[in-house]
Amino acid sequence: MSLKCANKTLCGALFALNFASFAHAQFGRGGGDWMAIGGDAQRSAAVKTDPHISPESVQAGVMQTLWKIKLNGVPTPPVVGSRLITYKGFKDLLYVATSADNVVSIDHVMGKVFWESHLPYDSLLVPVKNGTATCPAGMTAALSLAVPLAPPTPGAGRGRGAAPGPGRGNMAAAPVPTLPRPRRTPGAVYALSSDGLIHTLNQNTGTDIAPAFRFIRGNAKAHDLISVANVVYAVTSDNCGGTPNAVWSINLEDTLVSEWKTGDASVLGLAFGSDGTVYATTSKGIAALEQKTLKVKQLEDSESATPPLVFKFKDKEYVVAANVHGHILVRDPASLAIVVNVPGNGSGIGNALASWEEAESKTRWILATKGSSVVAFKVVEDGGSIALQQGWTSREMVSPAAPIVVNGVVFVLSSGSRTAPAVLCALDGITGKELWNSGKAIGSYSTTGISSGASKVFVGTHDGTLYAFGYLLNRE
Amino acid sequence: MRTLIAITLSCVIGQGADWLTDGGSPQRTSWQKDEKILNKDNVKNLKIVWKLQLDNEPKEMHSLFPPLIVGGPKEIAVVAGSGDNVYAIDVATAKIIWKKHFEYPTPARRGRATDPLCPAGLTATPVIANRTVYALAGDGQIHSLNVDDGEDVAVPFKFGHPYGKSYALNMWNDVLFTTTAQGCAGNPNQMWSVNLKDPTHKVMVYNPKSGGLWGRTGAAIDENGVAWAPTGDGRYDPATQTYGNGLIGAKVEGTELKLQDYYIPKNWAWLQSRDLDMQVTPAIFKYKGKELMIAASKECRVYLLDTKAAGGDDHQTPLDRTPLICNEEVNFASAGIWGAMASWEDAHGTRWILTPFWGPVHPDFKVPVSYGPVTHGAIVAFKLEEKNGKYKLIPAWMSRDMDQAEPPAIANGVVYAFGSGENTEQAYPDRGLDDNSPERIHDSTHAVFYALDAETGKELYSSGDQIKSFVHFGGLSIANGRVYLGTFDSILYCFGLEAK
Repeated sequence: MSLKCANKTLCGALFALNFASFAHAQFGRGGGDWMAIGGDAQRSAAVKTDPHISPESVQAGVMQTLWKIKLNGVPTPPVVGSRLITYKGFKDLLYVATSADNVVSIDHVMGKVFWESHLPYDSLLVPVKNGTATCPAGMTAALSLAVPLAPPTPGAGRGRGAAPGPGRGNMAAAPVPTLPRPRRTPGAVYALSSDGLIHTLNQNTGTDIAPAFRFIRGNAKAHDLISVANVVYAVTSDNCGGTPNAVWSINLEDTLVSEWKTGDASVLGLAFGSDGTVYATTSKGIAALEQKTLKVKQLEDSESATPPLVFKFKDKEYVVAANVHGHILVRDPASLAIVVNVPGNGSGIGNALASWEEAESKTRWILATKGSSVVAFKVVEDGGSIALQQGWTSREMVSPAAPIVVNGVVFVLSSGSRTAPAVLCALDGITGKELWNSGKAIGSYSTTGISSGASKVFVGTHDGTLYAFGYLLNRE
Repeated sequence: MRTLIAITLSCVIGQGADWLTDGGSPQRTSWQKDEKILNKDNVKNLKIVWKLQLDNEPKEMHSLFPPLIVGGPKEIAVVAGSGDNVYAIDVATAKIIWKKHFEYPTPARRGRATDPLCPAGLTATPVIANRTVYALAGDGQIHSLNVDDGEDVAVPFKFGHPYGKSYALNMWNDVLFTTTAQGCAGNPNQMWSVNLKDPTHKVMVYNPKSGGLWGRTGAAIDENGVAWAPTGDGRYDPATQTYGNGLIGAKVEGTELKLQDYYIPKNWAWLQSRDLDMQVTPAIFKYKGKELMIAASKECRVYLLDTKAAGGDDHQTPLDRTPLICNEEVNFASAGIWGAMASWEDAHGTRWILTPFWGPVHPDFKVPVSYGPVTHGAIVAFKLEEKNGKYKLIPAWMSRDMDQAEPPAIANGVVYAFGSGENTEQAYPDRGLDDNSPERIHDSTHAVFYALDAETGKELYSSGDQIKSFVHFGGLSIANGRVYLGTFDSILYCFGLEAK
């Protein structure tokens, strides 16, 4: 905690005052499902509104270490769904895949495992037991829920500068947010097991809704799993397990598999335009592909270094990715022509980008990890086109993972190393000022990214522990 | 004085106890103070004195509501049925004296077909005052019936929306109260009142902007005429007079029903998020000169409150609150405390608090006396203690396992209870929420009626498998050596010491 309090009594009173105000608020609209890697189909890695997390509330101390759970295997970033009515009651569930081919559902308010399913290995290929840094063994892709093509319209979000909740005394009282209706029927959790089968699991039980289908070859390094309009997509890279590098899709209605093979170019990731175009970056280029069939619509050479990200600015859509030289390249979504090229300064960009928009000013931000820091860029108009204007640069961290944004707060994981455990940091999205960090709460380093949902941030570590930080709901 | 009157009446007409309203009194204690015949020594000889098949049509899972018992030339049980029927039964002969069926045009709106929450018909237990039965028909009309012959003694008047699912009527100083829930047929969830002396029968309401006010026996009324009812899932936002997941107290002032006080648990947001709302009719009683109230929630805690300052200065601090008794699973159905509370005072002045609960007992709940594993539900008794102004609910005993334990009633040192045998599931692994009557009716079993030693919880009598159907929204009534319970198949059972 970076806050220093000279007068403990005063600080305690202020803290209590703030928490008295937060205590009235709870899940509001736009509380933030995190449906796949990158959060949404555009891979924006941003939760637009949150009833509890804001720069002000984080500075005031809202972030708590909520729980940690030891899992079997290394966890991928969890996905978080809406509140569900299950046969065991109303539940707020996240779903996490682990390298041990396990899918685990956790009640993220209580910090209790709700169900756990092991996906049995079903392939003639000998399973790879011991992986390498390049080709890790086991299940590698984070899970996906059914993701809408267009990002959901945010509800009554606050954005920066708004009161964190209904206040007392001199604080203006904001309305208590309305709790969204829970989902009445279970949806699906999509899981790509290490044998290459795609599983459709019941969110309430973890059991198969439909038979598992052959999707890709076993022992691949698969990632960027996402289900859009009943078609599941994934990418493979580094030819792991003999699986070709490719973008893959499987139509769940007829189990037809489509692919776009990329030869010796590893696929870095994919993102969707609002018209359904699939954008994929590889170590040699960037492509626009048809939805479902993956036929190439447009292809440009580029030594990409990050997955693509699709964002809107002034009602126009753009695709952005960085290359191995540290350049950030913003492209026209149809032609893939470069409209902005922010030169690198020698520092590589190696993680996924993030993008968010200020609620009131509509200022669009692009975030990238550059070297040991996170760099924030503002998207600005520039003579009829757009430009990226550098904003803040964070302090240096140990191997920062891809940032995510929750209601104006940038969360970055200092991933750590074998000798230094990971630390989660919260930064003001506009100034980059550090608002909070997890201190020594995390006991190991991390090799995966982070995700968010329902006023929490989730961190998985290499020792198989999943941590939750965020707003503590009073259950007592 | 009351005892003297009761004895005198007993000598004159051979009986002394009435049960004129659901829960036995406006305070909803479910304590029959005037029982003289049944006691803990003889209830082991209980048997079905008679059972009477009524021609009431069950609606969804509802059928017979708790009988009201009134003395007079004949001791009469007045039983309302979901098919818009009211029956008056001579309890000595088990003969129907009169029957009233309320006819009305089919309302334009009704609940979803097969929805157990919104039956199309009568849903409120009537109330009796001055030998008049006040019954709320399914079309929202109050009928005033002569208890002796069933004839209308006043012109019916409107007191609710058609098929609006009103809960048990209560009465205080000529004012009728009810509550509504589940928004059935578009009916608002609120507390309702009407002054019978008001020739215009102006309907006065208070709406807490919450989920339904679905305490089984409606509102309980304190010594100042404040009607207390639990509020269903919703927000707590005093700035907008929004009082979800709590308990409100409202009183008629002039021609308005006005909020007097409220209690909201500090963890209301958690209760709301998991549908663990306060939805149990409280019981109100005197203790050491104070008027206190007990309430409960599906979360499975019991709250002790002062009717003069419920929740203290911040409306969120009860006098005491028990640990979790059940519902470790945090389930909104088939677990937690449902229905209504009960309370009585023994000859030594010890105040007892009784709560039913559904589902397994919480593993952390400790009680000194119990009777085997509890997996389906049970009754728990607490003793109330006060020391230096601090109140404490002390667990005393937990009953044997009961299949969905329903609100108990107490008379002469005996606790009467029943497991409803009702299937209470509302959600399923494959489908999620799918609350439907046909499936629940099919999967229900049968009720079992019990008599327990009120001081130890020991089972003194069980009806075993003599009751053939389940109970949903039924309840116990006790008077003059007889205990009554109606079941889904529209059979009214009368338990007593000797067969007819």
